[in-house]
Amino acid sequence: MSRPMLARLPGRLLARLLVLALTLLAASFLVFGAIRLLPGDPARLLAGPQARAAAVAALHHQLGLDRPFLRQYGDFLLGAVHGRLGTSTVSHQPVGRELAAHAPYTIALGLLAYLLASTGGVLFGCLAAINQARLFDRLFGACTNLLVSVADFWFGLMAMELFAVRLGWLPLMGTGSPAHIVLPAITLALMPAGLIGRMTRAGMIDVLRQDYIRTATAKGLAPLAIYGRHALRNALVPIVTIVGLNLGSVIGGAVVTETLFAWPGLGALLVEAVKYRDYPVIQGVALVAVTAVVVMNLLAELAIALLDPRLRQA
Amino acid sequence: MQTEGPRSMDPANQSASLTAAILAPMYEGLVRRAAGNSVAPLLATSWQASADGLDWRFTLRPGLRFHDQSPCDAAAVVAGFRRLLAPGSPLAAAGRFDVIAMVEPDGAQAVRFRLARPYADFLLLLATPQAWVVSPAAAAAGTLDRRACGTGPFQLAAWESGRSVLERRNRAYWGAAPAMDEIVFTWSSEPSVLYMALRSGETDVATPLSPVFADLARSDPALRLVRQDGDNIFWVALDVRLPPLGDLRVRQALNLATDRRALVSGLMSGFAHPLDSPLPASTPFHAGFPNALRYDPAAARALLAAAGFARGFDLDLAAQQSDEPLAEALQAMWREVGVRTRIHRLESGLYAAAAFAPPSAKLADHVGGVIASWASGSVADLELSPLFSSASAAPAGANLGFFSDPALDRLLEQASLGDDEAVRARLYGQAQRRIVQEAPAVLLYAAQDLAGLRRDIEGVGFIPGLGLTVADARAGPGAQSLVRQSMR
Amino acid sequence: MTSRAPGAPTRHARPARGPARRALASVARHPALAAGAATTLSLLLLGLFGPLLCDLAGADPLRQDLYHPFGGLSLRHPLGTDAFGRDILTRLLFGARYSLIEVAASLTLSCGGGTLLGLAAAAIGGRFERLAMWFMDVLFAFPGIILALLTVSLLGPGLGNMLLAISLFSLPVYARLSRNLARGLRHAGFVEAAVSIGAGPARIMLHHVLPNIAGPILVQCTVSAGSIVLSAAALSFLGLGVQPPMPEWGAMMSDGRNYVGAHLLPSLFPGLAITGAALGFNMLGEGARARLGDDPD
Repeated sequence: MSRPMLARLPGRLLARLLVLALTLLAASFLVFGAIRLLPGDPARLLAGPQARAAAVAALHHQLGLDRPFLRQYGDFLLGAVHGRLGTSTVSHQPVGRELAAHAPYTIALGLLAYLLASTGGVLFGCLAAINQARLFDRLFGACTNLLVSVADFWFGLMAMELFAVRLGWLPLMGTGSPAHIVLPAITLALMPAGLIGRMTRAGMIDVLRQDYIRTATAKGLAPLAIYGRHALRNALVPIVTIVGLNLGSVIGGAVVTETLFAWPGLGALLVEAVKYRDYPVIQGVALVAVTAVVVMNLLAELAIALLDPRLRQA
Repeated sequence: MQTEGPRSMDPANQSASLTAAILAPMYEGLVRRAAGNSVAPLLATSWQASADGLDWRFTLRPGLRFHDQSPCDAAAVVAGFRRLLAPGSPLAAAGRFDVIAMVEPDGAQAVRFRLARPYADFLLLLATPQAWVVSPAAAAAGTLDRRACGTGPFQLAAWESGRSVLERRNRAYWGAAPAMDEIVFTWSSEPSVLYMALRSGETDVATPLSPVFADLARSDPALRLVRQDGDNIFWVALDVRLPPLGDLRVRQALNLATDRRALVSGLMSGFAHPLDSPLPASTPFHAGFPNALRYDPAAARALLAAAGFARGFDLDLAAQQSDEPLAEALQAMWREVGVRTRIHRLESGLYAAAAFAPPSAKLADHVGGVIASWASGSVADLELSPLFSSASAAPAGANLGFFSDPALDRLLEQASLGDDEAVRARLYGQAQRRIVQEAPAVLLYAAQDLAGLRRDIEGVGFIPGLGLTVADARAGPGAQSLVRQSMR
Repeated sequence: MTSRAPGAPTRHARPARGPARRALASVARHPALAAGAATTLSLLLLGLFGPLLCDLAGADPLRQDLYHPFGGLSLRHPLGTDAFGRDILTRLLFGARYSLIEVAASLTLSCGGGTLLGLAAAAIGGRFERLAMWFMDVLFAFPGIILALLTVSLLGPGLGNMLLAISLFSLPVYARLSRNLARGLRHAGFVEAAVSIGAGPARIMLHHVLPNIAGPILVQCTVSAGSIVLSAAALSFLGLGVQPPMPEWGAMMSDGRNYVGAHLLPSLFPGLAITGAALGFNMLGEGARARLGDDPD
C-alpha cells in the first residue's frame, strides 16, 4: 500500500460510514412509520388483538402516541439503541430478548451456508475457468443456472423427502444435534453457490488472460503456484463482493428455509410475527435485517479496498 | 411432540386443549376424570353435597405442597377460585365458573362452595383444566403465566419460548412416583414433521396426528396408533344477524349442501364420524337426526330458490390455518349450490379475535361463517350451552353466530339442573332437535383423537376433555432401559 | 423519430440480413438464450392456452373428489391428484396463468415506476437526484423478502398486495440502472443537439434517451423475471400471497408440503414448474445479457 492511499482511506471511509448511518436511520424511520400509516390505533396493533382495553390504553400512553410524531420517533430510536424495542404481543417477552434468542441460529446457518457455497463455488468456478469452453465448463454453466433458479423451498422439501424420510440419514427439522443444520445449510447455500461459482469463473478467466500469468507460465512456474498465488488472490475480490453483499441479507434469504426446516432463526421469527401481526417483533427483525445489510456492505467494501489496490480508486 | 406450544403456564388463563396437555403433568384439580363420566378424588379425598345440590364441601388431602414449597391448603384452593370469580378478572377462563356463587375455606383442610343454582355437572366442571389448583404465591406474584406452579408429579424445569417445555419429576410428589424422570414437550405446526419425528424416534409420542399420517402410522410396525372417539366437534358457526343467513331456509340449505361423509373420507381419512346432532354420538344424552343432516344438494338448491337465492349468494368464511383444508372443501361443496365462499385464513391470535368478535365487528367484516372446533369433555351442557345459548353469545362465550332462542335456553337450563337421567335425556333430546331444526350452524363431524406412539411406550391414553395424558407413561418391556428415562 | 448515438462501434462489413435471420443466428450462438427463450415461450403458451384446453376437455381445477385424494399417476390424472382429489395437471396449467400475471404486473410496476424515477432523477439532477437515489439505497438496504413481508403485514395477504410488495423491492434496481444509463448519455452528441434546439427535459428523456437505454433495461427485466417467480412462489408458500382455492404454484406447494412423508406428488410437480419457469427466465436473461454484450445493436 502506498502512503498517499493510506492517508486518503480514513476520510473516504468516514464519508462512507456517514452515508450508511443515514441510510440505516432512514430505514428505521420507514419501519417505524409504516405502522403508523395503518388506519386505526397503532397501540391496538402493537398490543395485539387479544389485549384488553386497559392494556391498549396503557400502551397508548407509554408509546406517547399523543405526542408529536418526531418525538415518538426519537423515543423509539433511543429505546432501540438501548435494546428496548417493545414487547412481543404473542410471547409477551421483550423484543430484544426474542431477537437475541433467535439470532444465533440465523448466524450459524448463514455462516455455514456461505462457507459451503464459497468452498464449492470457488473450487468449481476455478476448475471451470481452467477448463474453459470444454465439457466441464458447459456442465458447470448449466449447474449454476440451475442453482440460482431452483426454488429453495422445493429443494428443501425434496431433500427432506429423500434424506430424512426415505434414507433416514439426516434429521428432519428443528434443532438438537449438529446434524440438524445440514439440510437447511445446504438448501440455503444453493443460490450463493451458483452466484459465487459464476463470479469466480468469470474473475479467474479475466485474471488468467493477464500478461503476468502468461509470463509466469512462460517462466515455467508450476501451475499450482500460478493459480494459487496470483490468480486466486485477485479473483477473491468478486467473491468477497458477493459474500459480503448477500451475507448481510441472509436474514431475508433464510426466511423460507428456516420456516421449512423449523430452524428457529430470525427469518422464522419474522414469518410468525407477520402471521400474528406481532408488530413490535416485525419492527425489530426488520431493523436488525437492515442493520446487517448495511454493516456487511461496509465490511465488504473495506475488504475489497484492502484486497485490491487498484480498485480503491474506483 | 404436539402441533402447538403452550399459550400460558397458568391453567386458568388458557382454553386450548394442547396447552392443557402440557400443563397436565404439573397441575391437579380437586377431582379428576375417571372412567365413563365419573370423577375420582385427587386433591380432595372426599366431598358431600347438600340435598338441594347448592352447597358442597370438599375435604382436602393433608400435607400437600406446591412446587414452590408453599402449602396447598384450603386457603390456597379458595384463592385460586376467587381469582376466577373476581369481577373483571382478566383470566381467560373467568366466565366458566359463574355457577359458583361463593367459595370459602372451612378450616385449613376443607373448602365450601355455594352454587348459584343446582348444576348437575359440577364435579365434572371441577375436573376441567381451568379448575386446577395453583400456587397463590405464584398467582399473586404474577409469574404464573411463565412459570407453572402446581402440585403435580412433574414440575417445570424450563420453557424455551417457541421451542420446548422441559418437565422434571417432582421428588416431593405426594402420590405414586411417575416412571419417567423427564418429559420434554416439543411442537411443530407441520403435520409431516410430527409423523417423521415419530418415525425416526426423535419423539416418543406425537399428537394430534394428522389423519393422513395416522393412516401410515397404523401400518408401521414400529409405531402404534391410539385413537379415541372424541368429542372434538367441528362446525361452521353462522352469523344469524348477517343477511342472508338470517333466513332459516338458507341455513338449512347450507347444511344440506354439505357432504359430511365425503369430508370424513377425504379430509379425515375415515378418522371421524359425521355429525347427526350437535352432540357427538359418544356423549351421553346424544340423540341423532340423520335425515335433517343428510347430503342433498338438490333439496339445498330448492330451499335457496324458495328463499329467493336461486343464483346463490356470497359468503365470507373465517378459518384457522389448520382448518383451512376444511374451508376449501366446504367452499367447493357449496359452490355446487351456488354459494360463493371467500376464505379468510387467519393465524390463531387473529382468528380468535375474529371468531369471538362482537356482532358489530362481524357485521363490519362481513364474516358470515366461522369454522370452529370444540371439545368439552363429553359433558352435554358444556357442549351445548357455550355454543348455542343466548348468554354465550360472543365474545362472552362460543356462540359465535349470536344464535338466540329462548325456548332452547330454557331447555338447556332445566336439563343442567336435575339429576333424573330420564328427564335430562328427554330435555336434551328436545334441545338437540331444536338446534338441528333452527340450524344456527352447519354441523360437520366429530374427529377422533389420534396419537402416534412408538411401540415401546405404554401408559399413554386419552382422557376426555384433556387430550393425551403422558404423566403415567412408561417404557414397556422390550424398550431399552436408559439411566435417565426421558420422553419427548 | 428516435436518434442513434453516434460513435457506436462499427461492425465488420457483412451482407445485409433480415431481422429474422439475425435473430436465429444470435440464438444459435447463445444456447442459453435459446433454451431460455424456448422455456419462456412455452410458459407463455401454456399460460394463455392451457386453461382454454382444460375448459374444452372439461377439466376443472377447482373440482374436488374427496373420495379419491392423492391419486397416483393415471390416464385420467396424468400428474395425479392432490389432497382434495383435484387434478394436478389442470391446476398446474391454470397456475401458469398466475405466474404470468405475477411477472407481468410486477415488472410493469417496478420497471415502469423505477425507470420513470431514474429518468426523472437524471433529468432534474441536483438535490432531487441525490435524494431519490439515496432513497433507493434505503429501499435497497432491505432484503427483498423482508420488505415484502413488512408490506404484507401492513396490507394483509392476497395476490394484489403481494405483487405490490414484490414491485416495491424490485423498484430500486430499475431506478438506479436507468439513472446511471441516462447519466452516461448526458454528454452524448444527440442529447446536446436536442438541448440546443430547445427540447424540454421530459421530451429528451422519453424520446431520445429511453429508446437507447431500453436494451439493458429489458435485459434486466428478463433477469428480474426469474426472481419474481421465485419470490411470488415463496410468499405464497408462506401463506401470504394468493388465497385458496386459486391454483398458484407456490400455494400448491404450500398445500402439498403438509403431506411430505406421505404423498410426494402434490409438492413435486408445482416445484418443478416453479424451478423450470425461473430457470427459463434466468437463462433468457443471461443469454440476452451475453448477446447484448456481444453485439450492441
